[in-house]
Amino acid sequence: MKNLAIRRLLIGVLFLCVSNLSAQEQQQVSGKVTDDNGSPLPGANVQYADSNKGTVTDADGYYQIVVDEGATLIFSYIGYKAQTIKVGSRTTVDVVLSQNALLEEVVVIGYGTSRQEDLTGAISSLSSDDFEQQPVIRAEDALQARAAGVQVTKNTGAPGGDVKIRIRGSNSISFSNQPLVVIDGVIGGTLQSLNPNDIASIDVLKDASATAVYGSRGANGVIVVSTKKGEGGAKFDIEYFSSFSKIPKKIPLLSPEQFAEISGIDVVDGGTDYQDAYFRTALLHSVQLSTSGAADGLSYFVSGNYVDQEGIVFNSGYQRFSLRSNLELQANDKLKIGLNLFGSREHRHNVFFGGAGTAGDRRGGILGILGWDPTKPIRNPDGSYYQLQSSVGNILVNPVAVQTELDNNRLQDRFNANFNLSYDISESLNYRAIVGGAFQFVNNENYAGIPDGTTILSPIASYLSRRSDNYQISNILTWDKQIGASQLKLTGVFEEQAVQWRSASGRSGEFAIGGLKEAFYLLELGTDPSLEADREKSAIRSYVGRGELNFKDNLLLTATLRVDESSNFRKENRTGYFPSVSAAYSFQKLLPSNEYLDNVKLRLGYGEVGNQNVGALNTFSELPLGRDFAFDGDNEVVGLGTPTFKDLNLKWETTKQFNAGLDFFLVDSRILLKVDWFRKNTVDLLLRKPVPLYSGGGTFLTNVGEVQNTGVDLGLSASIINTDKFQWNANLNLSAVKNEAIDLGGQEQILIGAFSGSSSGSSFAIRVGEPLGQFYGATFLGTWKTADQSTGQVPGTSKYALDESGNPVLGVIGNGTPELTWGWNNTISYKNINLNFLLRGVHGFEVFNQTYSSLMFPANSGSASHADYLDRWTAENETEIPAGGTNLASTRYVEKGDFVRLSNITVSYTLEEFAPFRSVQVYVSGQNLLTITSYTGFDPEVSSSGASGSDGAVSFDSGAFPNPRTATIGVKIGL
Amino acid sequence: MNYLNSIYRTFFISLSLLFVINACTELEENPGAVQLAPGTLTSVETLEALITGMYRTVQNEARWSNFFIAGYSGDDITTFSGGNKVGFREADWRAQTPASDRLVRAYRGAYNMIAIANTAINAKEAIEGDREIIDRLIGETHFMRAFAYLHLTRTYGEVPVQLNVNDPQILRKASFQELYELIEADLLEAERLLPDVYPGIQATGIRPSKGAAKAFLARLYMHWAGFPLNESDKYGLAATKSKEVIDGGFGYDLSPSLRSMWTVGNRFAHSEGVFTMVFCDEVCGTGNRTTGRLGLPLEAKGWSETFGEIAFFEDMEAAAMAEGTTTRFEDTYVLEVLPRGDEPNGAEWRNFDIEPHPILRKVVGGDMSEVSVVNSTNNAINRYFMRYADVLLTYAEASGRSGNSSTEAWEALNKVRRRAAGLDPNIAAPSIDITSGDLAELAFTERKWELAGEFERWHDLVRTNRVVEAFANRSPDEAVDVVNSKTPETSGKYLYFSPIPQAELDNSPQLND
Repeated sequence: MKNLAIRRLLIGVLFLCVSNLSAQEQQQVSGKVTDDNGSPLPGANVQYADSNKGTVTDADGYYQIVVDEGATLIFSYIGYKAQTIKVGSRTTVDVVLSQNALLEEVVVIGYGTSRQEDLTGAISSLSSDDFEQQPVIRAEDALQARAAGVQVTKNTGAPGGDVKIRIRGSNSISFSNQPLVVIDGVIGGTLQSLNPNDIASIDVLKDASATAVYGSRGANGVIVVSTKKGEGGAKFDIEYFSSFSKIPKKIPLLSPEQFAEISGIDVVDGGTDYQDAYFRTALLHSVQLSTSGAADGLSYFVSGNYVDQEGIVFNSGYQRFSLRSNLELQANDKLKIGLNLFGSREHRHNVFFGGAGTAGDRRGGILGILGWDPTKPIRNPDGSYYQLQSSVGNILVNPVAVQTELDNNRLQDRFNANFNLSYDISESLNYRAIVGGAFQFVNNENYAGIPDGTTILSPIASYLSRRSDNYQISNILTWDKQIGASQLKLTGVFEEQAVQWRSASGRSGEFAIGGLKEAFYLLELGTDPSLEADREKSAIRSYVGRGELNFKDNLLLTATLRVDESSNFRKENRTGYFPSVSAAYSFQKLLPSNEYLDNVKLRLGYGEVGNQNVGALNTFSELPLGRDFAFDGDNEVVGLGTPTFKDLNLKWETTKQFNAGLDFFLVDSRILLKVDWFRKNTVDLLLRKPVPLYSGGGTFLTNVGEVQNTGVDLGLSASIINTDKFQWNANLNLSAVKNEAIDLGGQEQILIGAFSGSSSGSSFAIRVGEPLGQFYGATFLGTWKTADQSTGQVPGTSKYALDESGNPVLGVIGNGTPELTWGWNNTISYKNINLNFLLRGVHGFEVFNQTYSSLMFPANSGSASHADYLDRWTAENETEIPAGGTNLASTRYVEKGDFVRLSNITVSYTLEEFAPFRSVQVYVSGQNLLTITSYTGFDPEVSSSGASGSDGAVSFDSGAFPNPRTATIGVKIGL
Repeated sequence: MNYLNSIYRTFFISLSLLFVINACTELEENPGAVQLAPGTLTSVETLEALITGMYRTVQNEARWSNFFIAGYSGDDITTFSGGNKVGFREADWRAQTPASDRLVRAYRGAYNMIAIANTAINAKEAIEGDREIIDRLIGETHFMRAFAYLHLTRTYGEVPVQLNVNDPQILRKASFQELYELIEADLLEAERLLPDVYPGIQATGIRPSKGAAKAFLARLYMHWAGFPLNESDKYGLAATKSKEVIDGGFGYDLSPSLRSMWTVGNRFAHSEGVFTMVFCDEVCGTGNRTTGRLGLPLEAKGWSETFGEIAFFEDMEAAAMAEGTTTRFEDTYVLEVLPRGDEPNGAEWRNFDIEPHPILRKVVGGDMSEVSVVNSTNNAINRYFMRYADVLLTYAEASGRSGNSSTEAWEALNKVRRRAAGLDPNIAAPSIDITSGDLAELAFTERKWELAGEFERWHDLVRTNRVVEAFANRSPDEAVDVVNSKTPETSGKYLYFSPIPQAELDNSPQLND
């Protein structure tokens, strides 16, 4: 309902702004045609509508023309939006043409580019203009809610945490559904370390006709990032901003007095508010420097960025340094050579599981804080801990002490070098080479002075060192020829990519010397340190062919075939063929001249893409290590486990997608509406089938089953108001996806836990005919009452729906996969003031509030800490809140997750030519300032199940790290 | 400019040649470099490592109280009603459902052992090396598999039998008869292959000998003779097998002190272990988590996981007074200061705050001065899956039940009684010894006191079908449900055997009853 209202409002406003002027008698008209900056446009067309009469502007942009009464003039210029103007009684008509961003925008489609107008596939494009009005430190923030069909979920509020991106739903049950990232032509990049200020454009390839050129890696969609290039005169830009972040709210807990009364203990010194002790107002600093320009055939873009972000949990944070140098040399009229270098260092301090957990022990962190005995002070006056353990509450080790004595550092360095070369062999034949190397070095240091858990253990430390090397060589040959009124473009690619990582790690504890701090550098001092080393290699060799035909600008045809050979599979199954075809038809010439509807384009496409991302050696059984045992109770000897079960015939997962889209170019192409319908079926699912416990348990990986996603993407971009002083640009996008498991290889359902090591057992069910992400559990009916005692029930315990034999009925109790997402981004400028706001909504899903469960029924022996426990069942007041008994995963903990969020609001003030500066901008901004939701936990967006885990398990809040509310102030200076 | 152009052209041509001739990527995988292929299971070393891995697999599960979940149903052991102890409470009161907490560990642990055992047994023909060592290791594997199936059937009743490796075939429950026959066959094979004394171990029982195989055969026959199959002729076989253990020279002997077997200092200083799990707390971190602090009450900042039941304590105290076996009574319960928290006195357990219960020494630790052990929930106290006193009493009971109450059988009973009285078990003690009466029942009762707190009592109650009787003997001071007077179940389909866990039923619905 809300969406509809917003759309109506938007369209209404649009039509108000398109003014109609009335016509009068014959006259001479003159004027000047300029661009947005007031520069004259020489040679612009001034066309007398409905005739071939017309003129062009002179060197200074002036024109003169005699027209009839009621005439309409069309002003056009290549690369600019045409304007149709009724002259009326005027004799002077000055026209400002603005660059035609919507039509002429170049879209990077993989191994080539295309004009927006020529697209046949489903692609969402963003340029830096779309997000530069929001202070972002991560590329994912730039993408969030700005592209139809792309769902960006900030799964965690942890600094440097993983961000979940899904393009048109989830295909894979057992494997990650994160899309492929391609940066400047190099496959398999990452957005998380990328400096968002380096991004020139992001093109999201959504349908299979677009992604098929990436073959066996394209099934989850492809995000193609192009970084900036220098142009024009030398420019130097500085940006600095600073943010303050806070937890969005506090969870209502028992006060120390209430807690003490229930547990029969005493409050000392007023107790402690552990939420206040754990969370803080976190500060962020971001500094950005860049210089760019072009001279003598050499264009350059050089940037540096430093981000220092505190976590809203004390003693946690994230730092990133990055440097980029993009150089491109136009050596002569045929040869272009480019070298892009990128280096970054990220340092995550005390961030676990990619931010999906707030502590190394899943029970600790936020869960630990909320459930801990609040009745005592944290420290004694002498600074020592008042108590490290309590026999009430969640009985874990004091989580504030754990966090204080924790030193976990993940240092991640990346170095990417990307050499590219383009040579025009003849007028129509071009050869391009991309040679890329991506190197990554990770050190993971961990020291727990007071380890998490239920017992006081001596300090433990570990150290991990890992490097990965990724090479890619792509040879691209393009033949592009105008044949009559048609254009034919053929592309051939030969490509190889190899990735290898090596790692070594060690851990120890029981240190011979006490009082160590950074004991990960002193593992030798521990008792019997353990060691591990490993290596993994994989490679892909590929051949791609693509043909694109533009027939008289009316009919566009594209066909591609990619052949991939992957080392992850045995020889017989190694080669995959991924074809696609797509077509687009422009109805422009069939449409009657109409000032509202400029063009309508129909797009149709079908393609097949794959998923080969199973990792190396997945078809070779092994005897697992790590089952060592000490027969003398002291010295372990090597032990092996049972051979893992492997499917020798393992092969790709294949996603077949059909897409139909309509593009409407409205009101002088000031409005572009794209609507796409798609259906994709993923077959031969790479599925981890559960092995019965009686056969050793675990899972085995095989190709069975099918998942279907059907949906609609809608993108509406509009330049609503476009006058000299006042501009309003808006972008509305909306995606609805229906997901369904069609076949699970003969089984009716597969039950899975929320994450590995999840204490709550199977919380999710994947069932034939139902979407992924189904919560599995009992139906909660309140409490058994005193009156039920006669039937053998215990009053005050949880009442669940029971079967005939009296066991709780287990079934689907909710779903964690959103059905509908939308984003509405607005940029409004008036003179020097600019306002940007981004609203987004996520609808049609539930959240499993395991946090609440653990606060009402602690998983370890102990007592409840949530304020709701005050209203628990008693014999005198028989409420529906159980006082004890068995606690199952049930409807009691399933809550509606729908939310609407003000993701960003920024107000900026810009001064151009503010000597000695080119421009100066100051801004204030807020992120997540407002969230409308009925969810009772911290944040309905976050999940403990991680960004790249199985999409069978989503929206599971078990102490998940909430996204903070943030206020930012910043300044941008251009020199 | 031309000069520059020619440089560029040369550069370009050489680079493109480089790229076009770059089909050098290796697409064949070479697993041997980084992992051990099952094909390497042809050597004694690999077999040894696999069996070592089997011990670790048991240890991973048996270090938790959940592995002994059925044992909580015995009248010797109870738990606490609060928090996460609900799973133990449901076992204690035989009120389990498939979804009960803590039910899956014994099931999963036993089948994980079985999976490794099946791997070794199915590969035995391919293994080359010293025959004597291979026999010993394969014998040990059969013993371990029998141990696992016995633990399964004693806990869950009828369960599926898996003897293959990575076999996707769907299995149904096997009958008690089939299970017993399988366990018997494995133990007979173990008996044939194992040496009298296992080489290179620090105390008996750490790895099984021929004697251990015989002792477990005796345990199997006791179950076979009793509930549910009631083939009472198996009592004779139980007597024979246990007698062979006693006569066989396998090195077993009663420890002079009962309590010192539950200390870390003396864990290897006796020969009473028939099959023992040793733990490695400090170095490996795989300590015993069924012992130590988790047997302490809230006053001593304990976990309140495993306590003694009140009626059992009172009955044992009375019997100890009457029979002069107070040493054993004091070795079974902690009746001194618990050195932790508010340092309450174990003898004054009735004054404890919430749900007061006696403190089991076999859980908390044999020696309160081993403070680090008592303070820990991760320590190196041994777990005795079977000890020699059990064999002696099995012999006495089986002899009585098979109508052969021999002098040797009475002597076996009296050895245990003498130690219980603090005397040398091997020297006759007329004041303690008994030589007349119903030997079977006397031995059965002796087992009750001797094995209290070792998760064995419940299985004795099941095989003799005395569950309801035992539940009837319940102290009025015993904990009842938070609200009303709910007490243990005395009927229902899960009275004797626990349900197969929901985690298994979810994926194997054919195992539903």
